[in-house]
Amino acid sequence: MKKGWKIALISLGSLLGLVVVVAAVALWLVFTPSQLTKIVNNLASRYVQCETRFGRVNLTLFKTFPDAGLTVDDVYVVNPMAGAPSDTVARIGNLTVGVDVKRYLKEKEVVVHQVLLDDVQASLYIDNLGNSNFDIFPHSEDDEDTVKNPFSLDSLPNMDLKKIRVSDLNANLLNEKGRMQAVVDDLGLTIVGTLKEGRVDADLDLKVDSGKLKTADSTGAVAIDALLKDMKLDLKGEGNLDRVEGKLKMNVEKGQFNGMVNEKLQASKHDLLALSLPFVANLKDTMSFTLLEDSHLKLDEYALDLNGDVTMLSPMKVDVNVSTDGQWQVAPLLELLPMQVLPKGMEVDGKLLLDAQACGELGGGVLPLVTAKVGLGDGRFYFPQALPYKVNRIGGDLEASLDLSKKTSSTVRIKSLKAHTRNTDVNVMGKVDDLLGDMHIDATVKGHVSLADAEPMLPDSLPFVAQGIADLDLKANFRMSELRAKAYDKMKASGTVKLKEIDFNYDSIHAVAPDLNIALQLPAKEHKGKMGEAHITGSHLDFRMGGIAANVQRPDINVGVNDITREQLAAAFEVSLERTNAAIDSTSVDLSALSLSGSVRLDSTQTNPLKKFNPNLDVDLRQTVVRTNLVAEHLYFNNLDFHYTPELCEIADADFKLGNSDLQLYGSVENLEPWLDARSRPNGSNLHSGNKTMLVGDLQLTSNYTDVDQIMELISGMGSDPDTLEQMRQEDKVDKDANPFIVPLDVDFTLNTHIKRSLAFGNDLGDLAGAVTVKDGVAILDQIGFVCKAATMQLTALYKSPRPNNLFAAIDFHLLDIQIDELLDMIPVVDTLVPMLAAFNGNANFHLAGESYLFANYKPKMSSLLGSAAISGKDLVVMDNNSISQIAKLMQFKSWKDKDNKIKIDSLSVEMTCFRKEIEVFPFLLNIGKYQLCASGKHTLDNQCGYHVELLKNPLMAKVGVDVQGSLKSPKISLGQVRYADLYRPEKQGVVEKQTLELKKMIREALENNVR
Amino acid sequence: MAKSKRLLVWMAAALLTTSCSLFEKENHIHVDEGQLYGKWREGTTQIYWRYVSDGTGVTWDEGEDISEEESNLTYNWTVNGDVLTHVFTGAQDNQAVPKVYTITAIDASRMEWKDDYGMTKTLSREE
Repeated sequence: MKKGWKIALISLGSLLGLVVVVAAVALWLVFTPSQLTKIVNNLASRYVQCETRFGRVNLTLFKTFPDAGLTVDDVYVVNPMAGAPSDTVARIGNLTVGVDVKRYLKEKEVVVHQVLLDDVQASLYIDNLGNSNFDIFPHSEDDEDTVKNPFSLDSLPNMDLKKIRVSDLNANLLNEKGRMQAVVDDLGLTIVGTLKEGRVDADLDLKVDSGKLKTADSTGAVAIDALLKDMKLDLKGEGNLDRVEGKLKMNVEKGQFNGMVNEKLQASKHDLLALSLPFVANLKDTMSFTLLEDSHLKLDEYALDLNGDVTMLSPMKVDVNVSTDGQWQVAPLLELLPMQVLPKGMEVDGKLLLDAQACGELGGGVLPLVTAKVGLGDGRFYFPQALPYKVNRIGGDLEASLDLSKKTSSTVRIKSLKAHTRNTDVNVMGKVDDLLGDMHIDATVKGHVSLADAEPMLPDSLPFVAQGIADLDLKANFRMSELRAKAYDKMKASGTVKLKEIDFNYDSIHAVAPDLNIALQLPAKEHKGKMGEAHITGSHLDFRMGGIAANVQRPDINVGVNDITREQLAAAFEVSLERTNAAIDSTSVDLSALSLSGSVRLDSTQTNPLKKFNPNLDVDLRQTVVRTNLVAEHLYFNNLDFHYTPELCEIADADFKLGNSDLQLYGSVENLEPWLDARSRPNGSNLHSGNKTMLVGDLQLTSNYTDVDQIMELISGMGSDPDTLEQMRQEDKVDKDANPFIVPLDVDFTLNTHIKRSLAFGNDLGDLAGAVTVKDGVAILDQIGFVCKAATMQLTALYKSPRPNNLFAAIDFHLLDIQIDELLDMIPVVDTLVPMLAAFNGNANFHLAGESYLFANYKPKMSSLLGSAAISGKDLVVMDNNSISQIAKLMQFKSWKDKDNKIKIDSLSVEMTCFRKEIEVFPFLLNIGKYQLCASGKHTLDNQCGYHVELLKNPLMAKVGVDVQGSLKSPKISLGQVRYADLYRPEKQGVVEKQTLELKKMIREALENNVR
Repeated sequence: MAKSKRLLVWMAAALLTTSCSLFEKENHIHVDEGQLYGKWREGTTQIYWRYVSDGTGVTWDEGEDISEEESNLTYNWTVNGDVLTHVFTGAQDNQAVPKVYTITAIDASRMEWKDDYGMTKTLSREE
């Protein structure tokens, strides 16, 4: 049985083979190559309007099975055209067309199912008018339409195209109208689908080994110059060639596109480009493509979802929505971008989510406008030119509008941008305009900042070192160019900074505070015209600057700054301090309250603090103790209110205690800054333009009690350089124990005083009023009036100290209506000058002028002593005195004493002078009872005398002269020559008498002229 | 008796003091002011006097470390016959201190003066 089946099957197969062979032979006999060639030529002339040449034409069944195939070798399409690079439009090595045999046999209709082309060489050309050399198919009847539509699928035969395959296609296209040139090498193409009644429904699978595409824009400039290799295209299309719908899948392994593919991208292991683009293409007019949803583009490994419109005609236009397919790693992406979008040296990385829209022209250096929503996570930033350390944990949510062509401003709205570096976290919100140019930042910054991290962000001119934490809440509005140029005056900022555990060092400034709150404003609002301002409050502040140290409770500082560059720093401020301890070099200050306002202008070239800061201050100081090496006693200020400028210091009220004295002072001091400047000169010269720079003061001083002696001791030598002073002492051989008062130099101070009670030179003085002047080493008491021991006094005194051992003192002293004994008690030297004065009792007017150089111990240099005095009195009483008794006895005075046994003198007017050791009493008249005496003479300070007394009137009318000579203590008294008989008798006066009286008058007038 | 005795004493004293003046005679010299111009030294001290032709002058004591330039003892001087008058005004120009001497002898190198009370000085020319 099995064997029978086997034989039957073999027989059946042989029979079928025989049938096939018979049929093939029959077809070969019916369709001979010559007959087929004839048929093809007929068809070509019917459907192609140019010269065509064909090689051998054969039938095939196997190649196109189940269709009947017609293969043509060496097909040439020749269509000469001016400007075309070749007359031959195409050469096809082998063309196979599969035809539906059944339709042909039944309906005599040629229906093409397959077109297979191998070894194709094409040279396509379109001239400036749009005429092409491949416009070879029949036109429609409408000529006008033919011009517009040189080719239409409608003109093709009715095809039910199931497969088109092109292999080994090499073609070039030159489109002069479209300014495009394309070259394709080794293109393989398979299209499976239908072309029926002018409509295409096909799948296209295209492979290109290499290709070139070159386009130009309307100006002729190169727009696209692409070199494509290993390109793959999978296209599904339908419709006609005017409007094609389909989906393009294309992979470009390598390529170049107008220089936009950089070396990094070319070297990538990934395909250069992968496209999956469902689209609708209008190929007839605009060459536009509408990318449908689910369009997908992958550049290297970065995938984008796309949709939108692309117009390919030059200039190329895009209106495309783009969104990332997943997160993109930013750093490698930036490396693939065709242009350097980041400043050189800037490193940026992160994970990026993008949803963007690109709209505008593309090509010829023109890039479309891009709007994008950007999500950034796990980012990092490093730009050593701005920050020496890396910023990481960058996360953000941003919306950007970018004009990559930079024709319009690009902006970014920062919904949130967080960053972290070292010990700092910052969150930024705001907007950045002109992103690709001079960035304009309008942002709010909140952060927790380590000040150490912030140091590198500050200008080089602010080299501060700081430790601590700052909690920021700031708003800023500025341009990057302003920041780079340090143009802080053009920037805007406001907000608060809360500092904790601050340790701050800047230049010579060191500040430590547990907490400080700073409110910032840039530009300043309260300080008009200032660049910025800050209001600083805190619980406690330790502050040091050079030799200044301060411990401040509850500081409240409001400062406005107009330039924070170090050379030109200027600031206005209001400061309120409580319970502050401060030290400046060897001077310390303890204050309970300080209110300070004003301004400073920094001149870093100066060393003197006043010159360096040029302060303009209003100071109100309460309950303050000042301890300084300059003054041995502490200064206690109950209140100090003054206004200071470099030119003028106006003291509104200084209420203070110095040693035993309480003083209230107001007035002005000028030239402090030039004075300090002059004193700081290396050579110590105080000459400026030939003039001496003086510290000038005009002050009003009132006091309940002033210890002048103590104050003189305290301020002795102030203003003199200690080294210079010591050198002068050595040169002058000053006794070590001697410590003379050295009047301050370079000082011109006038102190208008009113002191209720004073201790001066050991005397208690009351109601002391007048001017005290200190001027360049000279101290002057100018017509000081005061009351001492019930007498009214006026004192003008001068003291100067050119050398420690050559002091100079001068006085002009007037005592009116003073008891003579009190005068001698108060000024003992008067007894030396006028020994006989001790013999009188009563009230007198006393005028004294004297001057002398002094040794360092204040001992007068007698050779320089010059003085004059005038005493006048009435109703004086002569005290018991041995010398006078002797004279009276010698003159036989018996009745010169009154009933009280006292000698009374009606009037007394004495003028005397002192020259060196010699005291001269000019002739004076005494009326004692019935007697009239005239006396004159000299004595020396070593108690030698030569006096002469005359009795001019007595009851006996006799004139008697007595000479008193020798030692003052035990003078030799003898009768002498009568000299003054005519002195007080005008009618008898001679030249000598007149001259004597003239000298007396001259002495008295010179003295009395000084009485105020 | 006592009164007569006192009267007698008075008369004797008056006669004595008056007769002294009646019989006393002095020799006066005439001094030309040009004779005083220049610098003089007082005795053997270091006190110097300078007379300037404009009627001003100065005296100082180098023994007490005071130089001519520092001295406060400037004066205006005149000479009338043999009477030499100095008027010191002081450094503050607030005084008038006359010192009058009678020149008893003067030549190119030496000068003597005395005051009304018999005190004398001898000066030698320095310049």
